[in-house]
Amino acid sequence: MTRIPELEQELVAAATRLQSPRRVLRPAARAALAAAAVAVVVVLAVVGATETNDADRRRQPAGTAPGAKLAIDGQAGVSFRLDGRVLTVRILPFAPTETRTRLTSARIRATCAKGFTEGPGPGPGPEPRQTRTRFWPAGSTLMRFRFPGDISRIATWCRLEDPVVGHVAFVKFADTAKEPGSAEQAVELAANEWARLFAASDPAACERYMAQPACERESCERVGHRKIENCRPPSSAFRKAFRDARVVEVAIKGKFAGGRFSNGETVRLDRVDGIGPNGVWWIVKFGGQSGRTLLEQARGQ
Amino acid sequence: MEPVWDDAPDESLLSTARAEPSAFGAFYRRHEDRVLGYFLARVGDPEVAADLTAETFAAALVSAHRFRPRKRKPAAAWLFGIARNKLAMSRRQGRVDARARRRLGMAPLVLTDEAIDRISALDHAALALVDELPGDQRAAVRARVIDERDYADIAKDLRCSEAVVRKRVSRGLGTLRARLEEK
Repeated sequence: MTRIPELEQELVAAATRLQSPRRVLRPAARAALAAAAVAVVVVLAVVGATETNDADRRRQPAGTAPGAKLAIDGQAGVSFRLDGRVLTVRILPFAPTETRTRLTSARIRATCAKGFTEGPGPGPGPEPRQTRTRFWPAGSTLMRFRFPGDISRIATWCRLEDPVVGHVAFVKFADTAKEPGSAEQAVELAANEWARLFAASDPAACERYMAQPACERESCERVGHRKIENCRPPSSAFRKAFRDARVVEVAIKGKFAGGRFSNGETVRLDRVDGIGPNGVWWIVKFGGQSGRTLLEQARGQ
Repeated sequence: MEPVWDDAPDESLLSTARAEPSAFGAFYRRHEDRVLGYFLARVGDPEVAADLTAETFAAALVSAHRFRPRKRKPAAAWLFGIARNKLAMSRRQGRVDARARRRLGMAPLVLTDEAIDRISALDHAALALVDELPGDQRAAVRARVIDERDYADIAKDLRCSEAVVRKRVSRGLGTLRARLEEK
């Protein structure tokens, strides 16, 4: 017996199809059949994933902390939601083409873990970690990875990688990364955490809380280290102004929000739906007049 | 009754693959472990190694009729040439190439947990054999075959000449080959 008997069968079947031109389907018909087969596999996989996800949730012990852990890799444009044994990964609308190209139609490995003893990647290590590899179908923006065990309560980071070429996306979960109760709370939570990281010039401010255009504005660089002309990065004084700043006012209008900090500065946030009950809010603009119109409109009502 | 291909040389299996599909099955069975092991040592993931193996054999099937046996380039070397190309292309593109499989209308490979275990075991078995080599051969084989380093680079590290490294690699591989055949 071979190690992959299915592959041997597939190859012999393919050789049989090559054997006689009469028995070979026309390319168009073959493509249609293959597409149908892939569609069936995808549907079955989605149904299977949904069922197993539901089963996982039902099986969670009573002591499991409610709420999922959420985090976003702003540069890669990928969100991670770890709920029980299930890690849901979504390619966000802002995601650069590079992320989409690397993720789709590739076998992708997801890893979530508590510490970094062995560094990100597969393999046994003293720190608990869970790994699962799945094929990411072309055209899909969402993928669920069901880990063998539940690591959600202790996981501090998750990573997506292509085992051949390496890193695709990475997030660290903040201690506060539980799903907030309301949209206002979600905006406040995101903006406060962003302010703390931004003041410390921590790259996580971009990775976790900023949309790609805002990240580019912060670094004055586009993807691929291309400099943006006539762009000045935020000064250290501007950053320091956010050190102890807290959100004091929030205005929400549909998918857009404005936030005012205790230091008087404002930010504009956009909501990305599909992650948690209230979506996830991203800083899309900061400084200047960002978000002020929304705040003033809300005050005027 | 299906012909038995187990004793047929690789060249015959390839040249008759299109006329007798089971010949290609025999060719696959004969080289599966080595190709899988080759990829597994380089990518470290059984599923990716399986995908690369599938693509390599699919490409071999597509071009089997063009294979011309040469004295210095046996079928196995030709197959590993394809494997090297597929690995390089996959690294460049950031994904496992699927062109040959698409061309043949092959379905995406869905591996069972048992198959993954069988592939992983291959890595352990091969590495265990490498570990059993004498120290100087082990270091040379690991550096050259697994890490794919240059002879000059390895010679510098091991503080010997390139010729000595080549000799150690050659002896090490010879020993491995003999042990694999025993198994």
